[in-house]
Amino acid sequence: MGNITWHDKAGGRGRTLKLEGALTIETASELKHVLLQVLETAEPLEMNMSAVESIDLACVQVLCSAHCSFHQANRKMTLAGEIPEGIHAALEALAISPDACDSPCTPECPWRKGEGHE
Amino acid sequence: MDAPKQLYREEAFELLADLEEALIELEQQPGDLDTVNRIFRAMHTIKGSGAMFGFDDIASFTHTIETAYDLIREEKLSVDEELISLTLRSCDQIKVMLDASQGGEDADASLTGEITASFRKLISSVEGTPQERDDSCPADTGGEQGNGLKAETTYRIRFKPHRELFRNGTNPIPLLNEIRGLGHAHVICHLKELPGLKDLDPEACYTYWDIILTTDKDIDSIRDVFIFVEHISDIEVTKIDDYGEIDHEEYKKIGEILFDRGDISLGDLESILGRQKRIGELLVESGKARRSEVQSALVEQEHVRNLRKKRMGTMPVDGASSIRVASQKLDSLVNLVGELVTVQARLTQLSAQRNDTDLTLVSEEVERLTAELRDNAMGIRMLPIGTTFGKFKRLVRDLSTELGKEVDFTTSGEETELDKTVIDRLGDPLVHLIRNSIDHGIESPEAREAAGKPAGGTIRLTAEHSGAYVLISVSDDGAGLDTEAIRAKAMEKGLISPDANLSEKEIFELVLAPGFSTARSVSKVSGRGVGMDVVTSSIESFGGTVEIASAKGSGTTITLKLPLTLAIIDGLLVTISDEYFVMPLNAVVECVELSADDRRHTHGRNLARVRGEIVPYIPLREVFSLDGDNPAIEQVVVTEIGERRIGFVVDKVVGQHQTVIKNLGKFLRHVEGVSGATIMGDGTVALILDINKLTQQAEFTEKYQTVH
Amino acid sequence: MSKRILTVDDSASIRQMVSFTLKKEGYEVIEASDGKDALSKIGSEGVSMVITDLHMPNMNGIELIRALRTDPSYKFTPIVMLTTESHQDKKDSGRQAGATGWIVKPFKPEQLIAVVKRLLG
Repeated sequence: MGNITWHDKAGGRGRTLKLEGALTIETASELKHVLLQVLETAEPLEMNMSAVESIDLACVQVLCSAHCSFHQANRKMTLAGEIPEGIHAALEALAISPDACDSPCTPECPWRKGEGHE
Repeated sequence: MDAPKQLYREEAFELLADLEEALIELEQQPGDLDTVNRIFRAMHTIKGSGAMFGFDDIASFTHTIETAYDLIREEKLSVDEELISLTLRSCDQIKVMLDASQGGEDADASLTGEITASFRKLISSVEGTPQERDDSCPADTGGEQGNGLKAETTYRIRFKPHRELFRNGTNPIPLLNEIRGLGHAHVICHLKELPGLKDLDPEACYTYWDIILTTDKDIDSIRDVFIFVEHISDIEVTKIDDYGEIDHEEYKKIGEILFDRGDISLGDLESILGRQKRIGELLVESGKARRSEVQSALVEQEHVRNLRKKRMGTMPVDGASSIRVASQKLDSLVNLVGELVTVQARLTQLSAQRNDTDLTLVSEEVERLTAELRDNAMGIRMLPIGTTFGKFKRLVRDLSTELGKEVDFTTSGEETELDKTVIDRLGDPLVHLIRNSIDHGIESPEAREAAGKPAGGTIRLTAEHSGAYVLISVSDDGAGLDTEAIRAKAMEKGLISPDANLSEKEIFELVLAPGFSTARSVSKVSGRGVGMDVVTSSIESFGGTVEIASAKGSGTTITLKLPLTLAIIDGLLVTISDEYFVMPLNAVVECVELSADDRRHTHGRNLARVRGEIVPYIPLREVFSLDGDNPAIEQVVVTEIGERRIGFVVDKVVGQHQTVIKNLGKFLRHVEGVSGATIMGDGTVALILDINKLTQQAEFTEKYQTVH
Repeated sequence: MSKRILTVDDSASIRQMVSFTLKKEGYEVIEASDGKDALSKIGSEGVSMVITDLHMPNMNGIELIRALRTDPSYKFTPIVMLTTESHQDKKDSGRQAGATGWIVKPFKPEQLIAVVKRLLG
């Protein structure tokens, strides 16, 4: 099971959503719930996935859908930290890549390889 | 014996005990179906588990008995005393088999056969007996075709799971990986049905895939992968290419593929086809198809086209369907293609300036067709080199007789294809090389025997492909080159200074220098030793190189490295002071920047550091005495000649350029360092650099400077 | 992380064969002799896959599958049923109960491994 926790940033400047462990379908509902809550507020979303060990299609779908919805709402969804190998491996196996996706949010697709932030 | 096997044995003995009990009960109440069922299940378990634990003999033996009891269950066969005693004997036989696996005596095969035969007789006595059930594992089908071509088929698989895919515990990742494991696969993912976060059911599957798979497995093996999900997915497997399909490498148009897949309707297709634009673009622009769908269709198109191209390449040429054409006609075809390439370059340039989408589309189409036409025209001119090999046999025979030497001549690689023009110009150099081998290389029979070699020498003529080149080598098992003799001769001729420190390779290269001959006497055959430098210059004149390898006492190999074609090359276009030059792309390794600082750091020596390696460079502005100042940052085009890297400094690298080679006129023919010219799209002339010559020149200058 | 698989069968030899085969492939295996035994053993440890026979005393395979599917932790766990005969009705009732896949007995170790790989990776 994956872990979804909020971490306050240093200096009280907002918080980061940290995803950890195996992001499997058992975590998908919680993940959607948390992301939807942020979407419905004005808070900017910063996520850190660097401690994710693996991810399945259910959770990838939640993250893709969330990225699209944030994009549509003109909201930023940023990543802190690297995207770990476990995620890249799953995306590759599922053939999910910004190159073969026509969602309007592809230009800022977080799955683009080698685009870790900060 | 491993633990599971041991356990099976124990269980089987228990089952057999139960079975015997049931058989005796059955004998007393022959009509009791419950007992029959009990016997059937026990046999089934013994058989089934037997196969699982490696007791194949038991499995096949029990199979027949099980079939008989199945018939009794269906009341097609009746129980009698004979059947019961036959079954009891079978039980004993199974026990023997079980014991055999633990070091006991082997079961009597003839008894096994006898019992099986009796059961078969009972089974066949039943009228209309269905074929024996076959529960064995499905064998892999597919494989090789008679002609050695792999019997590969390409399928398009659309795997579209229903929303509830995950609900039964299915994870699509291993499924997709299993499909990939069947062969060569392209997987394209579609996410277009994924809703926004608010409407998303996090436990539903919205994703689907197109898979283009080339495999030697049959369609059932593909369906088998999806067997657990076929009730919760739409799975379409369509054969789109077959190994038998060799008539044309052209594959369906994008519109057709999308229509096949049901991504667009026929109406969509027709309304779009009326306009002149790339179909894929149009479909996306008009919103009739998604970009990802078009992308996926493109992947399929490319996958199959590549496959067919490859297959056509390996097909044997059918002699009956070839025609003879005068080579002049081919030459003029290639000339025309050359003109076309030039015009096409102009068109591309124009369309880039005009910024007109329609023009760009036409221009791109022309570019694609021209490239194909060029490759085809070049392909027609390719001939197997073997045709010229024949005449050398005669040459070797005549020469060896004349010189009193015994020479065995062998050839290989006759099927290697080369541009006709190259083959035509190869004749004389090869004659020289073979003459040299017989005259200077192969020793007299007496000398050979004295050296412990067979009296007869061997000359080998071989041809083989190596990238964009063909390697042709002439090797002999003769005396080899005498480095000391060459050195002495070179000094005598003033080709090298007495204190020159030369590697073996450099010494061999001296043989290729003008006016060099090591033969002690001038023989009628090799003439006056003008041979080698004539060979070198004629090979270099069409972009080839000559290499010598030799070991004293055991022989010499001279290798000619020839470009596949002469008329058109892929070039790298560069500029120096507004002048255009073309460098052959196949020699170019990479381009790096050279700043004025870099220049200063090497104290005026022409050396650049490329990834830790020191690469000497040649400043072309100086070589060609061109006006103008060096830009602040120049470009070094690093090339590879033989095993060495040499850089050429230019102002700017423009990019790749299809180059139709035109010969230089009379006056320019002897300009060193330039092998030809080409006409650019806008009519300007670009000179084609002869990087081999330029390097040699620079080395000569360098040496000259160090010596003096 | 080694993946843990639960094998449920009243035949000790089948259990052993499954366990022996999967351990060789690097999986961790727990054995149970029927549905009830399975539910008690699965307890706190958790498993990433269940392979179960259908005919068993105490609690049969179909009942076990249903029980597992109602537990949120096993709602999406791959469950493979072992069917003795390839009868469609058995397979269907297993599928309806929530089984992910099935293996028809008799099967060879390679077939078992292929199915486990297909579902678990």
